[in-house]
Amino acid sequence: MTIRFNVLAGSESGIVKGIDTTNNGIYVIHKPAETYIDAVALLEWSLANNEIDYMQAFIATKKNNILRLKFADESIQQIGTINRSSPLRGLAYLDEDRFVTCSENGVLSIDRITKESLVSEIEANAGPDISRLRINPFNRTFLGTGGKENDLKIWSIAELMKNEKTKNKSVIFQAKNVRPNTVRLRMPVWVTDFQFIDERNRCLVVTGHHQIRLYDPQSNARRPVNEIEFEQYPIMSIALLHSSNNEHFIVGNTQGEMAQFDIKRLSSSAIVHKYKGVIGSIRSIDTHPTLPLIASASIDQYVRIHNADTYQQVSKFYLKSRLTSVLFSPHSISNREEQQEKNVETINKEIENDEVWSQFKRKLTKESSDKSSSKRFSFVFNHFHNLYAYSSTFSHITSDGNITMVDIGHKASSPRRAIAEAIVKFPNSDTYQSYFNVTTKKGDARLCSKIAGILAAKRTSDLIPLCHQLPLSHIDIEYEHRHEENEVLVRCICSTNYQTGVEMEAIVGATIAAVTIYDMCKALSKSIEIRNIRLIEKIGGKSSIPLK
Amino acid sequence: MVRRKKDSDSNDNDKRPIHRKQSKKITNDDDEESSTRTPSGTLQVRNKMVRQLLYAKLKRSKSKSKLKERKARQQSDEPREEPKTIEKKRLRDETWVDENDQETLDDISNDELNNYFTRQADSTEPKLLLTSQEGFPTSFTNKFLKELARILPNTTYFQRRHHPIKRIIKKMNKLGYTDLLVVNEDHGKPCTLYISHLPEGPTMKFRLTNARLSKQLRSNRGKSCAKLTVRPEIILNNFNTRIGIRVGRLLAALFPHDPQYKGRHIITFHNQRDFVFFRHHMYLFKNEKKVALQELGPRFTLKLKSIQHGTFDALYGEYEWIHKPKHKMDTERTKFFL
Repeated sequence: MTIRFNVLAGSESGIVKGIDTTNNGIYVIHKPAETYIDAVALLEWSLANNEIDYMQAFIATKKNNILRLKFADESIQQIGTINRSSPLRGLAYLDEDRFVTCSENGVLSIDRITKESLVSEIEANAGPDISRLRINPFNRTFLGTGGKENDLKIWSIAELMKNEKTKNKSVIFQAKNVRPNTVRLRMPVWVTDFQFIDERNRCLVVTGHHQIRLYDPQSNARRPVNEIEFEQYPIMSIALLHSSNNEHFIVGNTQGEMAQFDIKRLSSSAIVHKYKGVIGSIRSIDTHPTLPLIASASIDQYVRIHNADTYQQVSKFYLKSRLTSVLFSPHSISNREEQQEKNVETINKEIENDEVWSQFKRKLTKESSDKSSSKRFSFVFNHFHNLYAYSSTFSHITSDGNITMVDIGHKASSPRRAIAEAIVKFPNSDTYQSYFNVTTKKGDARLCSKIAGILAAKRTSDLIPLCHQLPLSHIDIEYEHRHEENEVLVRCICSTNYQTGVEMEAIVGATIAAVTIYDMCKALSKSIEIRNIRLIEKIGGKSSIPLK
Repeated sequence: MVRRKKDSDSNDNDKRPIHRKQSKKITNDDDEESSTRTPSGTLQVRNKMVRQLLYAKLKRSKSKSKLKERKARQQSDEPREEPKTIEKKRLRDETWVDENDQETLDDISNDELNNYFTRQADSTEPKLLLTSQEGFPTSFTNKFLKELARILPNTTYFQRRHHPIKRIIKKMNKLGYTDLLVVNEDHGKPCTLYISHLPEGPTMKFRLTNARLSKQLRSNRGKSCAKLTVRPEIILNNFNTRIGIRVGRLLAALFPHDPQYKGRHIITFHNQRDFVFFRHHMYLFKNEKKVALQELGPRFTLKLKSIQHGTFDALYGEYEWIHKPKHKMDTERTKFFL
């Protein structure tokens, strides 16, 4: 049996529906015996071989029933009920038939699936009024929780599993509330949803007070690294836009305003586009794993599909109940009409002119109307984990792209040394010999360049914009003459006892010494080359590069 | 002056008589041609009085021909065409409630107002609280509010002063009220009506226009509004879509069950092109066959602005539906939401 749908939506009636975005079909996947008794609360993907398994999904209801949906045969299997006094706010499938769940009253637990029910293995307290639990999809050993007056916490699952003693240590990051406002009033905390954006647990949090915050557990700051505001109403949901290499994200608020933002430019101008068409509070957003498509489920009972490239609404589906959650799967579905048309064409080739025209017209209109639908859906099953790009950090660049000087005030002084070298290549042996034997017009190039190099290293902070001033304890310029190759290797050695490294000083010293040799010898030849300026050693501080 | 001279110089023939002749010809001979040409556009009669005369003639001939056509049509046996009104051309979208669709009916019957409609034991008779915006309403709004309080059964008028709505709702929940009505005003006229159903919602915001007091209605002959002592009959017209039915149910739940038909009072919520007209009438049985309606007032018009999930919370509440003109909701003239 082929897969009939690629969007899954859960509603307050308890019915789960599948949507075929290619042929605009809606199918009832799961209907409880009595509707409106138990609402669908969460939809989550399963896991296979540490990657998301798009053939299985889990459905959690408001009364904490957990069901398994298999896409292959659309079968529903009851897994069990979790005994909690309040509904689940997050569910994540770990390996080996284990779930990590969190209920609204803050019971975080890891449950194992046994034959008939779920057995709780480990329980921890995540604090009151939890609104969401999410696992880091880039590094599935971490998860986050957050809620009302309960700021973001990032937990390590490994620590949580070890034993009772380490349970308290399992919170690896606890966000700190932002500073009081100008009249010294405490700012209220209300985390509504969040998303991890990379394997280093950087996390985007949206709040009920219309803020979007970026937390970086790697930095020393427990307060948000960056914060922007969106409109004036609570933001309900956030999703990463996978097709943009996870560099953009989509948020939706209670008024049905949906907007796309750029993570790298988190400032007031970060908004990329404000989508149109949604007219009810957005409960859940999901994006296609590879294509630029966004599905939003709102309580106006529609699932809307927007295209993130053209910013247009592609289609909308009326599902007859208030929606709570949505999942976008990468399954491609063939266009049924096209197939039928093909069949028709092969069977009776002789069609009257009028019919040909009408079909032609229909095709034209169809192609022009939904550019994204038929052809763009036809792709192969794709593991989007490969697409996650590793973003290295620059110490001088903030997360929103501005430049900054690193604050080294809190660092301890330590002895540091750096060696840089540069090669001055003479075009022939004549010029080299005249340099070596000091028969140049200007005089002793080596002596002059040595002094120039020392002077330059002392003034590095004047030349390099974000470089710190530092007291150099020693500067030395060495020369290594290579007679066979007609070249001179200039080496600059700088050392200090300070809070930051001296590699820039060494590089500048070596460079200027080499340039001075060129200046002294330029009367002999204009084609002297300076090559291979590089750092060869750095000792001391956070990172050391030993001598090559 | 100069222009006139030029005209007379350049044209050898006198222009005006020719024009007049032409126009006469057209008006007399050919109806079709004259209908396509406007007298001012193509003929350019410069004398205003003559031009007006010609135009009047043209119009008269047009209307005559139309009358002829109409009479001919009436006399012929052709079946009558249905008049093309916007209501008839209305586009039915997927939210139009189909009576055979069990899923939609389930959704409608499982809303927050279910207790009232299924007449469950714990549901009490509607008990309303009517109040104004913060501060003190101006005289017209004050009168309007007081009339409204007289018309709606089981209603208390509450002087808002500076009480916040959320705190009022808390108190109302304790006292067993079922609905809160808030009328806001602008430029001394009521402009917005909030209806919030308690204890679970929903809250709807309407634009309120054309508010008239009973005294201002001609049919009422200047009588002021008397307190409604009987349970009135409620008529809800043309609420067809899912949102329409939701609005209709909220409005119906303001009134008690079991109308006293002997009291002869009717309250109508008539939806036409998304405008909901509120009217209060009384049957007048003139004799055994003839019945008339007398409008008692007050009257006003409502237009839905938003539906909010839960009780009134404009800032943190979740909206089910908002009228968003910027989102291209009103592109088609024949598309309606209720």
